[in-house]
Amino acid sequence: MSRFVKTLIWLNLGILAALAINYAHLMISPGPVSKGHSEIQTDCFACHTPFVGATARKCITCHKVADIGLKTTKGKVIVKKDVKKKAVAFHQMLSQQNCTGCHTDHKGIAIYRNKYKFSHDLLEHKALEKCSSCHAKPKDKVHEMASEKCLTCHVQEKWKPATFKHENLTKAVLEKCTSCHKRPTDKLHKQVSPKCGLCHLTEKWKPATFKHELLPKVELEKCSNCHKLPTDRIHENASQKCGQCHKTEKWKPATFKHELLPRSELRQCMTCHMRSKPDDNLHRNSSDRCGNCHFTNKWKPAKGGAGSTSRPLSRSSGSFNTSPNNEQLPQWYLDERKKRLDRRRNN
Amino acid sequence: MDKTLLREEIVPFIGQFSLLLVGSYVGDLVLHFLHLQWVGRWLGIPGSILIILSFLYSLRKRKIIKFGNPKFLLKMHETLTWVGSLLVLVHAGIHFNTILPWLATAGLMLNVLSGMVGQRLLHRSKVHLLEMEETYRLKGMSKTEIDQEIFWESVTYDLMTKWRVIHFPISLAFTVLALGHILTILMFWEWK
Repeated sequence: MSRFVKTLIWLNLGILAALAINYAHLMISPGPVSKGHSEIQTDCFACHTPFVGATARKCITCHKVADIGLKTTKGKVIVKKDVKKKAVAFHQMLSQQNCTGCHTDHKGIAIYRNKYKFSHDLLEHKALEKCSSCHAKPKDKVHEMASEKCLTCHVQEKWKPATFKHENLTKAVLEKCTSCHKRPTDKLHKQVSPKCGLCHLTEKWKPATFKHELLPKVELEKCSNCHKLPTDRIHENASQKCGQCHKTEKWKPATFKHELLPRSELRQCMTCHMRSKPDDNLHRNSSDRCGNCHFTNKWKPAKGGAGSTSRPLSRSSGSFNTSPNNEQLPQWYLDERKKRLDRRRNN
Repeated sequence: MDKTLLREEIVPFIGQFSLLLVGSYVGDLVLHFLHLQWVGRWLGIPGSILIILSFLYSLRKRKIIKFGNPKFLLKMHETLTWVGSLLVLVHAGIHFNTILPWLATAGLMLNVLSGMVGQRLLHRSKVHLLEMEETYRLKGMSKTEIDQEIFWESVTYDLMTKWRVIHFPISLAFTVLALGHILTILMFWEWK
């Protein structure tokens, strides 16, 4: 390489070095500085210490810690444009002075770091407990009764998801479920008390345990308010008092008492039992009144015999007031039978 | 145009350079897409290390060091500078923040182009020297001796000597600009 070329190269590089030193903000600065620092953009060492970086000590020279958030570096009081927002001075509560932990400058390196990235770890322990000194408490229904200790439910990193513990509530508040939760509007819940805890747990809504005993007596008789009435043949003519046959614990087994039926219905056995009489020699010529031979508690044994089912029951079939199984017969049945016997006797 | 020239010289040259540019662009794009821009910020370091390692050939050629197979070192020089340049270009990204790093990047690009021209010239000189190989063989030299002889003949071929006059100052300029950039980074870096 000729001496001329070498000289030319070194000359150019020398010029570049001179430019880098005198116009550092153009030659080496990674993009323009923020508006507030524009006055010192040509003086790199106003913020940087060679081979050390931008130290907090240099920042504090202009940004007095006691004034941060309250006054500008020129001593002017900071007034928030939005009057609803209060000026929050938390820099005074920082456990250590590490400005670059949150702040950065130079537009070019902004893509590498979040501007004003705040870390709660920098706060003093005392300040960490007073969330409301920086954050505004939500004004919604859920937070209305909540304490100032946000960390009971929320975490520092993010507001959601939050974990709520009912145990933290006072007994009085805990009983007012509807002050936070919306009451279901379905038929079942419309009439129940607002004390959700009687059936539901705080952990989850389902499964729920319902105790019929908790219902007032009047409501306890209105089963159909909550339950759907069966539409089958047996229940078609039944009253709405389900409790007469069924228990609140479970639907089956059910106990049916014929005595509860109105007299007119008691004779219409086939409304509930078999659609028609049994199609055998014995029953073909018998009357539709099953009770002439059979009893309500069970089909067998029956009194009478083949071809004799139309014969009225007599005293000889046992005690007049009891069935062959010594069950007490209903009064209306006895009356009916007495009338029938009297009529026969007169004839 | 001579089809052989197109196939053996022009297409590989353009292909190699285009691959470098496309690779850099795609690399930067992927980092941005994955929000891993910070990775690009650090890629300058491995890129620079690879380029520095490639200088082993330059040292060997100037007999400053005496170890290493020159042929292997040249291959390493070509490969490491290409890969190192790719990393440095991804590191540079398309972020026009300040002048000095961009001058260094421009120097790097020029250097790569110049190096690739040298690679082609070397290839051409090797072809010319193939005939010499035959002569050496007739002289009764061993295979290794012939390879060494041919290699040094090819790199000292007249065309290569002329090319080196251009390549060296470009490399020097790039080195100084890159060192300037590295120095300023070391000077203003947040050392914590």
